Amino acid sequence: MISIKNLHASIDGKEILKGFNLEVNAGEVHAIMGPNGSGKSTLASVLAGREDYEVTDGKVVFNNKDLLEMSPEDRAREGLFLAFQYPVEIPGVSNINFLKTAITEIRQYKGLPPLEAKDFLKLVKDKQAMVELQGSLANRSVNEGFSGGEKKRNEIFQMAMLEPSLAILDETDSGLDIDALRIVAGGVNKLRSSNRSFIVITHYQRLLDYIVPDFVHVMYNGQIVKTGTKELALELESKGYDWIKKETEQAI
Amino acid sequence: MNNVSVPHITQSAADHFRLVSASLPGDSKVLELRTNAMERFVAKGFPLKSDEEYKYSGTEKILKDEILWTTEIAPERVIDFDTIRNLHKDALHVFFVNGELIEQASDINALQNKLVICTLKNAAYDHAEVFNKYYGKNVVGFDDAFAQLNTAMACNGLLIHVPEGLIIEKPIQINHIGYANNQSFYQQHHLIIADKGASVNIIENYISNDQSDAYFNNQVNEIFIAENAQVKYYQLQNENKQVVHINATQVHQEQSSYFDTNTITIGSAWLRNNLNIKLNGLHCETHLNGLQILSGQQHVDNHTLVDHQMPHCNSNQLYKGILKDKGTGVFNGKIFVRRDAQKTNAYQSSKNMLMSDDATMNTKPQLEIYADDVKCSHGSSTGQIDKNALFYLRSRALSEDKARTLLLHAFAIEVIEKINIASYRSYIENIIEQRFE
Amino acid sequence: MADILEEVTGSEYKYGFTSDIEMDTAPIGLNESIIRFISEKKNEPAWMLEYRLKAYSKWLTMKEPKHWPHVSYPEIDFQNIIYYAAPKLKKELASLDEVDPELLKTFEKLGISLEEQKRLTGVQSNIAVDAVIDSVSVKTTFKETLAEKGIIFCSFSEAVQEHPELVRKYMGTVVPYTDNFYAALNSAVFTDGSFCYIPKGVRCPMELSTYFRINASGTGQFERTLIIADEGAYVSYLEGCTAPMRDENQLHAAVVEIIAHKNAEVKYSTVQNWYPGDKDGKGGIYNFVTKRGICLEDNSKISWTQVETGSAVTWKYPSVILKGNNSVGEFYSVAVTNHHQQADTGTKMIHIGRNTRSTIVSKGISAGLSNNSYRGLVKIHKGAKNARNFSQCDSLLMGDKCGAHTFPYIEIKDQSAIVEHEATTSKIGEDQLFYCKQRGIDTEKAIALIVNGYCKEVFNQLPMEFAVEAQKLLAVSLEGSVG
Repeated sequence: MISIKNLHASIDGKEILKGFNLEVNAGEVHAIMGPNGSGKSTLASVLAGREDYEVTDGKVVFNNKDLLEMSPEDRAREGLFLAFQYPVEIPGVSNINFLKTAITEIRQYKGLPPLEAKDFLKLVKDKQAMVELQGSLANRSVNEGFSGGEKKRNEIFQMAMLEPSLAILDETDSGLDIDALRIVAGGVNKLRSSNRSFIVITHYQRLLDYIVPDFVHVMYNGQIVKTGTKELALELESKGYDWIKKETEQAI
Repeated sequence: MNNVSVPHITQSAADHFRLVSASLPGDSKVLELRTNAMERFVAKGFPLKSDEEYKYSGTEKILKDEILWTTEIAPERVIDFDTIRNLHKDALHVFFVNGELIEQASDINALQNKLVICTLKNAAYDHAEVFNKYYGKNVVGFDDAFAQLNTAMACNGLLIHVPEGLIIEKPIQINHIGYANNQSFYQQHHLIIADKGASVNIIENYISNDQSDAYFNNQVNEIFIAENAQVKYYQLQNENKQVVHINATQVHQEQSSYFDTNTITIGSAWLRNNLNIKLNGLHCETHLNGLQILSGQQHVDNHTLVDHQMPHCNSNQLYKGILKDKGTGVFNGKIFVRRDAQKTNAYQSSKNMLMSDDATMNTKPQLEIYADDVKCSHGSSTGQIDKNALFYLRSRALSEDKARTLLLHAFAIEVIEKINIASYRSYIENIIEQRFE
Repeated sequence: MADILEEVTGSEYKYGFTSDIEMDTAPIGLNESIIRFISEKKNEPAWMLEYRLKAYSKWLTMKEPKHWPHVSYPEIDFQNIIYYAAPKLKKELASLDEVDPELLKTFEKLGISLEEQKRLTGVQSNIAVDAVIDSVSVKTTFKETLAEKGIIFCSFSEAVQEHPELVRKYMGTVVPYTDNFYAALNSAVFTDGSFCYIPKGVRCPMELSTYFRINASGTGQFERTLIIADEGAYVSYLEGCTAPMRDENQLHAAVVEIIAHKNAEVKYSTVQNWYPGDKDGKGGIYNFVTKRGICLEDNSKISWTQVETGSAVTWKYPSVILKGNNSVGEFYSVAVTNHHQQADTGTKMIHIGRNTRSTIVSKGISAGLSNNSYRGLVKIHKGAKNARNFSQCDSLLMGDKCGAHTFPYIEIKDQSAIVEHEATTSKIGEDQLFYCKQRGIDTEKAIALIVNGYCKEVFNQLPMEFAVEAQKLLAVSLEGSVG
């Protein structure tokens, strides 16, 4: 699905990713954990193509194509989806109109005709139910006046609508209460399939109780320093990140 | 002496300048600058209503009689300097009467030990280099008739020069006592210079000696704030209600400098403030606040211009007005963001309360913006005391008057709270409270 | 984004065709005999000629307002303009077949199919169109249908002939010829325009619409519109404007007057797309227009909605005088400037009656090297008890070579007034653009999406057909302006 090799990236001349490696196969769920400032969100931004970051070295192959060569919109059209940590508000643009435009663009890229209005609306209705999003939210402006939980649910709703092959969830659990977390995770679980992969970036183990990962990676100082399974997350939860930092520093 | 025309008075100013120009302080370059200023003034003339910048404050109403261009102190009157001093004990005081420094009453010696402070006339000899370098430089390009007239003719005022790194803790309070009832025209011109890293706090206190005094006070302040320097500059305009007062404060800020000003206006018959701030370095910070409380037939016009020339600067403005009786207020504020001034944050707010059907408030908040990565906004509101709040207080046993006073005080306090010198703030609070009683 | 900004290419002005129609023109220049010529051409009664001549002598004493608007343009030579240019028409057209076929082609290009309109006469829910080319009204549709309800909708010239009492009663009462330089000029030389009268208690069953077009070169267009809504009447009026691409600047100085009687409501919508000049600022229309309505009596309402994308220089302040008690004035505006365009536009809300309300929503968008200013006046007269105004003026900057300015004037002389004004200036957020891109939407579409969202409050005020047109126009106007 995606193969990241020796990825280096910096912002304003400061290097954040320092040789990051990761292989994700179809249908896998990878969790990336790590202390604040370890480079988790930078990774998400770089993969989605945010122009503030400069990639200085490395290679990313996504569905057999060079990801780093692509514009942000082409990455999205190829099936890469980022659930933003801070979803952006776009006043006056309704969610529905926004999604219709996005789906039409993606379909056009794939050489498909636009969806019939009737089919589109049915899709909206089905997917809304999946993330327990109120019908009225679809007609409101994108993220404007949404609560934190509504914004995150809206991200998952968009993900359901766009049906990506790789979804990156950037701290989707931050600022969510338990109920909202359960709904969001429930949506993600329904979207899990053998041909769709996930990279779940989180600071806390709690999310992983609901979205059970195949692998857990610990990121520190711009690299993956430890890889394990779900149990590693539990260990991190009880022991904190300090032992990882120590271990890493000793290794150096 | 009655009913002369505005152009006639413009001409009489020009005639007076010809008489005195040779004796005015400054070298030949300064004289040239003065002459140019006079030419600008004559070309423009005293502004009329048709002048966009004086749309609401044409001088037709105030320039009706001949003007006396020279003034003297009437020797028969006694001025109680100590009473003024005791109202604000935490400051060093300087006294001017009719624009002339009263040295024996002032703390000039105590101040001179720390920084350069002297009259403009002395500055032209004792600190000629500084005087000739700075005088009038911040007025060039400000095409205002009053400011040009002052720059041409002023021979009174102070040079305050704070050398590099010096921090003057105690505020310097300059008290201006007006003292004539004969259409005299005073013109003072301050040069305030804070060198790199220096800090100084200046208060100007304008009062009239007698309720019947009637005169014109046309002042210009040039303030130069060097890199990383700080100036707080506060004014209390409290002359009697016969006085015409025009004030131009021209501020030039360099990198990482800080300027904070607060103008409290309760006096004068007709008053115009021009505040022009040039942000000429990165990371400048500037705060402009003002409060006007008007009654009778008072007319007060606050003009501000914040000129963002460089990136990463912040400016904030808050102006409030309370207008009673036939009072007329004007607020005209402009935020100007030049093409290079990216990452500017500039905010402006004007809030006014009309207390009578004969009061008038004119506001013209303006944004003129040529850079795209900026956050700029202005808000303006004019209304009256919230009737629900008034009723609520009365239902809690307050008299209507008391409730009204309380709400007005609450409205005014937002500006007063922004005064960053504690002793002066409480001094102002007292004055404002008396005003509401 | 900066790199892409450099690629500013600008869209082609798709309405820039000229029509080969035989023209009947006055000699170049302006003097009393030209005015007499125009008046004679139009077979006007003596009072109208007198009005014109009074306006002309006033105009001679007036100065062009150049010191306060935030626009600059070279001196206009008023003696180098043709003040009358009419398509040569046979008198008294018996049927549309007699209309010059070139003219019909013009309308087809404009998207107004008069043939179609004619065939559909009698079918409900359509738009009645009055088309004005180079100052002369050429065809009004749906006249008969409207006449059944007592509605008069015709060219201004026709109104002068057929309804002189109404024209005399109302013309110049809202915009007197003394009002300003361009209003005086218009009053002296206007050649045609639209006239509309809705009688007592009648709700106009369809949108009334005028399409204005400047066609001949070297001409100025000076049309007048007069709309009267009698007691309890309602009308929604649409105005569209186009002009051919020409290297020269052409002058358009129109006057629009609206009178709303007791309980009446007039909604006036404009989509202004005069030729803005090319991307180097060559050519384009000078659009100096005086539009004003008066809520003459109690409970009346006038609402202006404008989408301004065209003209090289715009100077325009659709206003409402709120004279009747409880009357309501509204102004909704989207003004887009690109390349070298300059716009100084806004509104005046003059509160005189009691309990009057006004709302101002202005959205300015500047791109390229353009300057876009909002200028507005809110005036509360003494005795205008409980007046309320809310103004929101937002500016959006696209690129760092344009300017966005806000110059509101607020004058309050009554203590019971509550007046609030808010203004913001910002640019399209990089965050918003990236968010759209991450969902597969390219920059051009993302900008259209974001800008349309930004203008939504105003577009919501437009009739459906116009709203769609306005959105498209906006996208075309901003094409290639950012990223």
